Amino acid sequence: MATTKGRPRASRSPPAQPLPPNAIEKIRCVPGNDLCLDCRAAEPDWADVQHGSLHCIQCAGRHRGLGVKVSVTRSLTMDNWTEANLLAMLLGGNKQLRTFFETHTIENSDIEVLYRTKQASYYREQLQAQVAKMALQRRKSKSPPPISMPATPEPPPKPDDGFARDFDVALRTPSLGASLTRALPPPGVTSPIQGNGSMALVTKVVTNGPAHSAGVRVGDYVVALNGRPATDYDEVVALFARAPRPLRLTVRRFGGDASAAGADEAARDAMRGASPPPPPLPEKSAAFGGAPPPATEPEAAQDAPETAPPPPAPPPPPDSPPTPKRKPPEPEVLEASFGPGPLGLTVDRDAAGAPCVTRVAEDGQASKAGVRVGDVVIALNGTSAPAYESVVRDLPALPRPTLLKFRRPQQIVIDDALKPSPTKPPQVTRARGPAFNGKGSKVFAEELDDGSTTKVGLPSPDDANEYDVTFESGPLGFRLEERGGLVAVSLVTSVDAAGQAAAAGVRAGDVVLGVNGERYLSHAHTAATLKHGRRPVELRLRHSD
Amino acid sequence: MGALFSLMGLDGWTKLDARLCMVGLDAAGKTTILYKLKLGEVVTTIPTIGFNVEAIEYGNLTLTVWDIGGQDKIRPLWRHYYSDTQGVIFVVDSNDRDRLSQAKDELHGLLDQFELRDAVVLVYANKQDLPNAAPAAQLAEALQLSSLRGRKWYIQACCATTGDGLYEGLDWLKENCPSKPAS
Repeated sequence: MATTKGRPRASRSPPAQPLPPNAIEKIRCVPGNDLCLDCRAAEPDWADVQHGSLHCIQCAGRHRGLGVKVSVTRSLTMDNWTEANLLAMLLGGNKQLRTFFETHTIENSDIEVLYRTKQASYYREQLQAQVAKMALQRRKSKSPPPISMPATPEPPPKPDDGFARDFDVALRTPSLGASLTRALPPPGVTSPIQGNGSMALVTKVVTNGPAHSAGVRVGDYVVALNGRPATDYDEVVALFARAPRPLRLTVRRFGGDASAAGADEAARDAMRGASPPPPPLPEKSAAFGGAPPPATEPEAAQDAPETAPPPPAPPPPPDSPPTPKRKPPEPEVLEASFGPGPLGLTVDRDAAGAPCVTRVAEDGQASKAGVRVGDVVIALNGTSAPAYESVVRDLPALPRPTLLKFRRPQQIVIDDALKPSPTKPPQVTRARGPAFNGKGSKVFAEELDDGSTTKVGLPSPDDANEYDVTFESGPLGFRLEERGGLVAVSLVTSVDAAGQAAAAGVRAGDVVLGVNGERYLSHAHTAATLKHGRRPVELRLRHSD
Repeated sequence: MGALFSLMGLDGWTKLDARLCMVGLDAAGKTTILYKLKLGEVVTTIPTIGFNVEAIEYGNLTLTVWDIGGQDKIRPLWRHYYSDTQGVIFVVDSNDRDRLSQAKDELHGLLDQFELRDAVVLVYANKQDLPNAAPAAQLAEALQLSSLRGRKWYIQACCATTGDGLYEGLDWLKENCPSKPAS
């Protein structure tokens, strides 16, 4: 039978079955799920698994009338659920959807109108694409046991050895003031992470930025957002972009534990129906190199009850390479030879105690060799995996030329900003309406962050505050940051007074609505298009007032 | 149209009764059909937990229709309504192609019940107004109706909110449903 793409009921997923009590509990713990999304009645019992939202029975009745393309309702207690249904509920949530509706100022529409809007359809597609992606990851990693499978016997919990420490950061601003990078867990730490086996590593902390004032350091890992564990880098970035502010980030500083349990794991636990924290499966532990039983983290568990239990935290054997699960991105290795004189870099201990580059001086030797902040020294004149102390002690005294090897993660920056450079003259034409109107009815295929493609239409401009700007050549002369919501809104945070954006009337606080006729772009997409894309580039913006 | 047909009650020399069970997966539109037939209007329904029962006059025939909730957990309760039932109305959401096989299993499961050995089956292919609705012929195939040996069945495309097709289904029931004189 034909299965519609992106529908919650995927043909290859395990059969539907009733939700175990702890899965219901997990769904209820998703922010905003204490009240019906539509009428705010308490204790909603009916889910719309297309939107990942919870509703009272009355509103659920109206949702059913929208047709299964728009809305599929499931009772928390009386229906059978597929894994995809559950994932949709864990990735979604009433607060997130309401925030999305509010961002698009359609939250006061009737159910019959609201869920048939283009915006709601877009939200559904986004959510279901995420669900499909995560379900695929789970199938690939073979992490989910069949739902009906009895829970594996639980190994005795090991007392917390304090190897990894979690702390929370409250974030009110759109930006974190830190750069995150796809990174492997610290050497010697086995990673139970699903998917591509990479974590979100902090590689740069802007001085006096939100992260800095909260005590986040280079080398920390972001492991959860709003108490919801984020499995890997992609997930952290996706959640970070969507999550409304204030946002509670859980940052993990490693002595060794590389655990990050995701909605993925939560779903597995939930479907398994185990009330005590389920241990990693034996075969899974074996895949991670026979890791010992999991350590418990009482504080973390109380802090975020939906957090899955932390996976094994073995002490790091020296020199052992990271053991990611499958197909990790190959860490790039950089070799640099340093002549006499200052090296132009600062090395500090990262969370795992490894020597990590925390500063690169402009025009210094390191900078010229391509060394970046976040690189980890893995060899010093042939000595592999030198300890931080020996690097600091020996480096100044070693005879030159000195050969250094760095392990570097793929550099992907969340906190993108467009940096104006004063080389080219601004050429700006400004237009109201028509420039975009010409393409108004066109449907664009958009390559989303997660690799899926969705089609979005471009509404014609009707808001008096919306305006179009065409930049004939770069640089544009303003900085962008991300504001929360499922559709990451790109917010202009500062405008270079001498740049062409200022000349075109772009003001700080304006929101970028579209680029080159495309709307609903992710912030990363917008930023990348503006930074690296062709000129001329056409922008649709909206003044904040 | 219903009012028009009710005049036919004058022609019938005997009043007839039939007891029907209306079942189907959740959100197929059973309750909406019931009240469209009973009241002639579209009511806003909520998921049925339990059942609704209404007597529907159609010509000289009085149909007692039991509309039973379709949620997974309450489907096993359907069988308690089967005794003394002359016909089954099975409602399918023509758009919900993902769950057609589930609907097929439920339909064949209930027809295996001893109490329904003589019951006729009317399948309403509901929600035909929505785009991408499967046509009745396709649904008949997906539900494997042709494999029902020695059973009177009929599939009728319909739309509960407009009422299209509902009375055509009742016409078939009137002709084919074993009814008994009203007591």
